[in-house]
Amino acid sequence: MPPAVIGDLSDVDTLIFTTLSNDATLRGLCPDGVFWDIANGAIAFVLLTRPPDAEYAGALDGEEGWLRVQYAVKAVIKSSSVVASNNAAFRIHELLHYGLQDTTAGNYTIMHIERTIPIRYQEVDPSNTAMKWQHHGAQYSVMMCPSN
Amino acid sequence: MANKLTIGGLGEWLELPRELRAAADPVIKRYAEDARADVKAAYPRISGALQDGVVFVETPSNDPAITTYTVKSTAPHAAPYEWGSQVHGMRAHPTFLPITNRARHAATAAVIEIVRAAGFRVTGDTD
Repeated sequence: MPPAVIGDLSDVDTLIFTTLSNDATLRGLCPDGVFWDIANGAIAFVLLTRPPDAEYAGALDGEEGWLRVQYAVKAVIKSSSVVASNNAAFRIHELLHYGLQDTTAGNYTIMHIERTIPIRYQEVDPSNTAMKWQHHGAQYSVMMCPSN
Repeated sequence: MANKLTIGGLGEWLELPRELRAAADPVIKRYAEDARADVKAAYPRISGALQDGVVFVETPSNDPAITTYTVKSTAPHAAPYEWGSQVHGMRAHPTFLPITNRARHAATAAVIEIVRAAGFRVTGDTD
Protein backbone atom coordinates (compact mmCIF):
# COMPACT_ATOMS: atom_id res chain seq x y z
CA MET A 1 0.00 0.00 0.00
CA PRO A 2 1.50 3.37 -0.97
CA PRO A 3 2.29 5.79 1.85
CA ALA A 4 -0.05 8.67 2.62
CA VAL A 5 0.70 11.71 0.48
CA ILE A 6 1.68 14.68 2.57
CA GLY A 7 2.29 17.38 -0.02
CA ASP A 8 1.27 18.83 -3.35
CA LEU A 9 3.71 18.14 -6.17
CA SER A 10 2.55 21.26 -7.95
CA ASP A 11 4.48 23.22 -5.30
CA VAL A 12 7.67 21.53 -6.51
CA ASP A 13 6.61 22.14 -10.12
CA THR A 14 6.32 25.84 -9.27
CA LEU A 15 9.71 25.89 -7.58
CA ILE A 16 11.42 24.40 -10.64
CA PHE A 17 9.46 26.68 -12.97
CA THR A 18 10.25 29.88 -11.08
CA THR A 19 13.90 28.94 -10.64
CA LEU A 20 14.23 28.71 -14.40
CA SER A 21 11.96 31.69 -15.15
CA ASN A 22 13.72 34.07 -12.79
CA ASP A 23 17.21 33.47 -14.09
CA ALA A 24 18.39 36.38 -16.21
CA THR A 25 21.06 34.38 -18.04
CA LEU A 26 18.59 31.72 -19.12
CA ARG A 27 16.02 34.35 -20.08
CA GLY A 28 18.65 35.99 -22.29
CA LEU A 29 19.18 32.71 -24.11
CA CYS A 30 15.51 31.69 -24.20
CA PRO A 31 13.63 35.01 -24.29
CA ASP A 32 10.19 33.53 -24.98
CA GLY A 33 10.11 32.12 -21.46
CA VAL A 34 9.45 28.83 -19.71
CA PHE A 35 6.50 26.62 -20.64
CA TRP A 36 4.92 23.40 -19.47
CA ASP A 37 4.49 20.62 -22.03
CA ILE A 38 3.88 22.72 -25.14
CA ALA A 39 4.69 26.21 -26.39
CA ASN A 40 2.82 27.26 -29.49
CA GLY A 41 4.34 30.17 -31.37
CA ALA A 42 7.50 30.44 -29.28
CA ILE A 43 10.88 30.06 -30.99
CA ALA A 44 13.37 30.22 -28.11
CA PHE A 45 12.14 28.86 -24.83
CA VAL A 46 12.55 26.34 -22.03
CA LEU A 47 10.14 23.43 -21.95
CA LEU A 48 9.33 21.52 -18.78
CA THR A 49 7.70 18.09 -18.64
CA ARG A 50 7.06 15.89 -15.64
CA PRO A 51 6.42 12.24 -16.48
CA PRO A 52 3.45 11.01 -14.47
CA ASP A 53 5.08 8.21 -12.53
CA ALA A 54 7.00 8.72 -9.32
CA GLU A 55 8.94 6.58 -6.89
CA TYR A 56 8.31 6.82 -3.20
CA ALA A 57 9.03 5.16 0.08
CA GLY A 58 7.01 5.15 3.24
CA ALA A 59 8.17 6.29 6.63
CA LEU A 60 7.43 4.36 9.82
CA ASP A 61 4.27 6.36 10.48
CA GLY A 62 2.78 5.36 7.12
CA GLU A 63 3.35 8.73 5.50
CA GLU A 64 5.75 9.48 2.69
CA GLY A 65 9.36 9.10 3.74
CA TRP A 66 10.72 10.41 0.48
CA LEU A 67 9.52 10.93 -3.04
CA ARG A 68 11.43 11.01 -6.31
CA VAL A 69 10.08 12.45 -9.54
CA GLN A 70 11.64 13.18 -12.90
CA TYR A 71 11.58 16.47 -14.77
CA ALA A 72 12.56 16.75 -18.41
CA VAL A 73 13.97 20.24 -18.87
CA LYS A 74 15.17 21.37 -22.27
CA ALA A 75 15.88 24.50 -24.24
CA VAL A 76 14.05 24.55 -27.57
CA ILE A 77 15.46 27.05 -30.03
CA LYS A 78 14.70 27.56 -33.71
CA SER A 79 18.17 27.89 -35.15
CA SER A 80 20.50 26.10 -37.50
CA SER A 81 23.24 26.68 -34.91
CA VAL A 82 23.58 24.64 -31.74
CA VAL A 83 25.44 27.35 -29.82
CA ALA A 84 22.49 29.00 -28.07
CA SER A 85 20.81 25.70 -27.14
CA ASN A 86 24.12 24.35 -25.83
CA ASN A 87 24.55 27.44 -23.68
CA ALA A 88 20.97 27.29 -22.44
CA ALA A 89 21.29 23.61 -21.55
CA PHE A 90 24.48 24.39 -19.67
CA ARG A 91 22.71 27.14 -17.73
CA ILE A 92 19.80 24.80 -16.91
CA HIS A 93 22.38 22.36 -15.64
CA GLU A 94 24.04 25.00 -13.47
CA LEU A 95 20.70 25.91 -11.94
CA LEU A 96 19.36 22.42 -11.30
CA HIS A 97 22.13 19.84 -10.99
CA TYR A 98 22.89 19.53 -7.28
CA GLY A 99 20.88 22.75 -6.90
CA LEU A 100 18.00 23.87 -4.67
CA GLN A 101 19.15 21.59 -1.88
CA ASP A 102 17.15 22.16 1.34
CA THR A 103 14.77 24.50 -0.47
CA THR A 104 11.18 24.17 0.73
CA ALA A 105 8.27 23.87 -1.69
CA GLY A 106 4.97 23.59 0.16
CA ASN A 107 5.19 20.54 2.40
CA TYR A 108 8.26 19.20 0.61
CA THR A 109 11.94 19.94 1.04
CA ILE A 110 14.35 19.26 -1.82
CA MET A 111 16.95 16.69 -0.80
CA HIS A 112 18.78 16.15 -4.05
CA ILE A 113 18.59 16.98 -7.75
CA GLU A 114 20.76 15.39 -10.37
CA ARG A 115 20.88 14.97 -14.10
CA THR A 116 20.05 11.41 -15.08
CA ILE A 117 19.67 11.44 -18.86
CA PRO A 118 20.88 14.04 -21.34
CA ILE A 119 18.43 15.19 -24.03
CA ARG A 120 19.78 16.22 -27.39
CA TYR A 121 18.05 16.07 -30.76
CA GLN A 122 17.02 18.35 -33.57
CA GLU A 123 14.09 18.61 -35.92
CA VAL A 124 13.97 20.02 -39.43
CA ASP A 125 11.55 22.91 -39.83
CA PRO A 126 9.00 21.87 -42.49
CA SER A 127 8.65 25.42 -43.84
CA ASN A 128 12.38 25.82 -44.36
CA THR A 129 14.41 22.65 -44.43
CA ALA A 130 17.62 24.61 -43.89
CA MET A 131 16.27 25.67 -40.51
CA LYS A 132 16.36 23.40 -37.48
CA TRP A 133 14.76 23.21 -34.07
CA GLN A 134 17.37 22.44 -31.44
CA HIS A 135 16.25 20.49 -28.37
CA HIS A 136 18.90 20.43 -25.68
CA GLY A 137 18.67 19.72 -21.96
CA ALA A 138 18.34 16.77 -19.65
CA GLN A 139 16.08 14.74 -17.48
CA TYR A 140 16.59 15.55 -13.82
CA SER A 141 15.76 13.36 -10.88
CA VAL A 142 14.36 15.37 -7.96
CA MET A 143 14.30 13.71 -4.58
CA MET A 144 12.33 15.30 -1.76
CA CYS A 145 11.12 14.59 1.73
CA PRO A 146 8.38 16.01 3.96
CA SER A 147 9.30 19.39 5.41
CA ASN A 148 8.10 18.52 8.88
CA MET B 1 60.24 -26.68 9.74
CA ALA B 2 59.14 -25.94 6.18
CA ASN B 3 58.98 -22.26 5.26
CA LYS B 4 55.68 -22.47 3.48
CA LEU B 5 52.24 -20.87 3.77
CA THR B 6 49.28 -22.32 1.90
CA ILE B 7 45.99 -20.47 1.57
CA GLY B 8 43.17 -22.67 0.39
CA GLY B 9 39.72 -21.95 -0.94
CA LEU B 10 40.69 -19.29 -3.46
CA GLY B 11 39.33 -21.36 -6.31
CA GLU B 12 35.93 -21.13 -4.74
CA TRP B 13 36.22 -17.34 -4.52
CA LEU B 14 37.38 -17.07 -8.11
CA GLU B 15 34.39 -19.07 -9.27
CA LEU B 16 31.93 -16.97 -7.29
CA PRO B 17 31.50 -14.17 -9.88
CA ARG B 18 30.73 -16.78 -12.54
CA GLU B 19 28.19 -18.48 -10.33
CA LEU B 20 26.51 -15.20 -9.43
CA ARG B 21 26.45 -14.12 -13.03
CA ALA B 22 24.97 -17.44 -14.07
CA ALA B 23 22.22 -16.96 -11.51
CA ALA B 24 21.60 -13.31 -12.35
CA ASP B 25 21.84 -13.53 -16.13
CA PRO B 26 18.42 -15.09 -16.86
CA VAL B 27 16.77 -12.76 -14.37
CA ILE B 28 18.23 -9.65 -16.00
CA LYS B 29 17.43 -11.01 -19.45
CA ARG B 30 13.80 -11.59 -18.49
CA TYR B 31 13.39 -8.02 -17.19
CA ALA B 32 14.96 -6.64 -20.36
CA GLU B 33 12.75 -8.76 -22.61
CA ASP B 34 9.67 -7.74 -20.63
CA ALA B 35 10.70 -4.08 -20.89
CA ARG B 36 11.01 -4.40 -24.65
CA ALA B 37 7.56 -5.96 -24.88
CA ASP B 38 6.06 -3.30 -22.59
CA VAL B 39 7.59 -0.43 -24.58
CA LYS B 40 6.33 -1.92 -27.85
CA ALA B 41 2.86 -2.33 -26.38
CA ALA B 42 2.83 1.22 -25.04
CA TYR B 43 3.85 2.86 -28.33
CA PRO B 44 1.06 3.73 -30.75
CA ARG B 45 0.99 1.90 -34.07
CA ILE B 46 0.63 4.39 -36.91
CA SER B 47 3.39 3.72 -39.42
CA GLY B 48 4.71 0.94 -37.19
CA ALA B 49 8.18 2.50 -37.09
CA LEU B 50 8.07 3.25 -33.37
CA GLN B 51 7.02 -0.26 -32.37
CA ASP B 52 9.26 -1.97 -34.90
CA GLY B 53 12.21 0.17 -33.77
CA VAL B 54 12.28 -1.31 -30.27
CA VAL B 55 15.16 -3.74 -30.24
CA PHE B 56 16.78 -6.02 -27.71
CA VAL B 57 20.54 -6.42 -27.78
CA GLU B 58 22.61 -9.02 -25.98
CA THR B 59 26.09 -7.73 -25.25
CA PRO B 60 28.51 -10.53 -24.41
CA SER B 61 31.24 -9.80 -21.91
CA ASN B 62 34.42 -11.67 -21.07
CA ASP B 63 34.29 -10.21 -17.57
CA PRO B 64 32.91 -12.94 -15.29
CA ALA B 65 31.06 -10.35 -13.20
CA ILE B 66 29.27 -8.49 -16.00
CA THR B 67 26.08 -9.34 -17.82
CA THR B 68 24.44 -6.80 -20.11
CA TYR B 69 21.18 -6.65 -22.05
CA THR B 70 20.13 -3.47 -23.79
CA VAL B 71 16.73 -2.27 -24.94
CA LYS B 72 16.83 0.49 -27.55
CA SER B 73 14.24 2.57 -29.32
CA THR B 74 15.79 3.15 -32.73
CA ALA B 75 13.04 4.91 -34.71
CA PRO B 76 14.16 8.33 -35.99
CA HIS B 77 11.27 10.02 -34.19
CA ALA B 78 11.74 8.13 -30.90
CA ALA B 79 13.26 11.20 -29.19
CA PRO B 80 10.60 13.70 -30.38
CA TYR B 81 7.92 11.22 -29.31
CA GLU B 82 9.48 10.82 -25.87
CA TRP B 83 10.27 14.50 -25.28
CA GLY B 84 8.00 16.41 -27.66
CA SER B 85 8.08 17.83 -31.15
CA GLN B 86 7.92 21.55 -31.82
CA VAL B 87 7.55 20.94 -35.56
CA HIS B 88 4.45 18.81 -35.10
CA GLY B 89 3.10 20.67 -32.06
CA MET B 90 3.25 17.40 -30.16
CA ARG B 91 3.72 17.22 -26.42
CA ALA B 92 6.08 14.74 -24.80
CA HIS B 93 4.95 11.15 -24.36
CA PRO B 94 7.22 9.73 -21.66
CA THR B 95 7.10 6.04 -22.52
CA PHE B 96 10.44 4.38 -23.06
CA LEU B 97 12.23 5.91 -20.09
CA PRO B 98 9.61 5.28 -17.39
CA ILE B 99 9.18 1.65 -18.51
CA THR B 100 12.88 0.87 -18.81
CA ASN B 101 13.62 2.72 -15.59
CA ARG B 102 11.11 0.59 -13.69
CA ALA B 103 12.57 -2.55 -15.27
CA ARG B 104 16.10 -1.52 -14.34
CA HIS B 105 15.12 -0.89 -10.72
CA ALA B 106 13.23 -4.19 -10.51
CA ALA B 107 16.14 -6.11 -12.08
CA THR B 108 18.57 -4.50 -9.67
CA ALA B 109 16.40 -5.46 -6.71
CA ALA B 110 16.20 -9.04 -7.98
CA VAL B 111 19.97 -9.26 -8.42
CA ILE B 112 20.49 -7.88 -4.94
CA GLU B 113 18.39 -10.75 -3.58
CA ILE B 114 20.54 -13.24 -5.52
CA VAL B 115 23.71 -11.74 -4.07
CA ARG B 116 22.22 -11.73 -0.58
CA ALA B 117 21.17 -15.36 -0.98
CA ALA B 118 24.83 -16.14 -1.70
CA GLY B 119 25.67 -14.80 1.74
CA PHE B 120 26.73 -11.24 1.00
CA ARG B 121 25.57 -8.00 2.55
CA VAL B 122 24.47 -5.41 0.01
CA THR B 123 24.55 -1.69 0.80
CA GLY B 124 24.58 1.56 -1.14
CA ASP B 125 22.57 3.40 -3.74
CA THR B 126 20.97 1.07 -6.26
CA ASP B 127 20.50 3.71 -8.99
